Amino acid sequence: MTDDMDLDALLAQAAATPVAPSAALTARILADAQAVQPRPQAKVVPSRPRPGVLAWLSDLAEGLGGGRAVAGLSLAGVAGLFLGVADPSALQSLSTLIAGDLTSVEHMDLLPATDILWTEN
Amino acid sequence: MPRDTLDEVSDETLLVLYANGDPSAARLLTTRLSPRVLGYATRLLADRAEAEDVTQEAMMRLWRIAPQWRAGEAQISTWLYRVVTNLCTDLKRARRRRPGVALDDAPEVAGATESAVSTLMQADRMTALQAALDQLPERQRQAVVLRHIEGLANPEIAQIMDLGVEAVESLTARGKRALAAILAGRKAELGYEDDADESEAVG
Repeated sequence: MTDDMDLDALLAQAAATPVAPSAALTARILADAQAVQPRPQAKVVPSRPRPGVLAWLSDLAEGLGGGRAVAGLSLAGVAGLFLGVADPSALQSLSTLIAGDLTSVEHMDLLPATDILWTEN
Repeated sequence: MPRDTLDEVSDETLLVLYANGDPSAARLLTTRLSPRVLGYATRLLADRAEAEDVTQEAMMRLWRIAPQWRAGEAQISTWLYRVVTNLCTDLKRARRRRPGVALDDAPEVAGATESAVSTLMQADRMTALQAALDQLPERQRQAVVLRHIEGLANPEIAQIMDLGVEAVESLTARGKRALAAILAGRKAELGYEDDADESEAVG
């Protein structure tokens, strides 16, 4: 057994002879694996789609840019409604000026409620 | 993930799947890796029961490290061979500390050698090789088994044994020379002379 070739052949034969684990060993290894395996992480479940009008409103809100944008639009709408409904008496002088005889204007009172400030005592 | 698909994925991917809770990954990793781990441990320890315990422990360490495994840092098989090498070294140290099995117990060593020779006379080539491997110094045995039986490249063996590549080359060469010396004169018992005769007869 001094030939390198013989020793190489012997080693090659060993390499080609696998050591098969017994069924019992495999079972022990798998039991260990199961015992220490991290639990699967909880999956994020998407919320159920809302039906009908709610879904349409939700899509519309998303299309307009989300909740903040919708809140801004709502505020602007309420402000417009207020201006439309409120008593326009404070603007009467100005409207008279614009709608009235423009050529006869000598004096334009833009702030009629502040006359008192100009009164000398 | 379907079994067919899992068959094609790398060990590292399987370990990630195991860490994520995939139930099939552990079985595939065990099928792939445990024969190599057991074979290596058996050749280092020459004791099947101890080799099985080492295999189970090495695989347990793999399962435990799975969630922290750093991808691309090392091959799983290389890491396992290293774990097995260390476990076997520890086991042999423990054997030496046990009363009655100390290496300096000359009568027992002499008895073991006689037993090895006796086995060599009766057994097949594999048993003879194992008996010869048992007589090598530990590091030489590790290097020879990893290089010539497990078929690893020297750089990978260097990683496993925590040595330089040149040191591995030196260990393997010395180990092979020692093996040849141990087996010298046993050629006929191992059947190699018969093979040579047959080759000549055929030629």
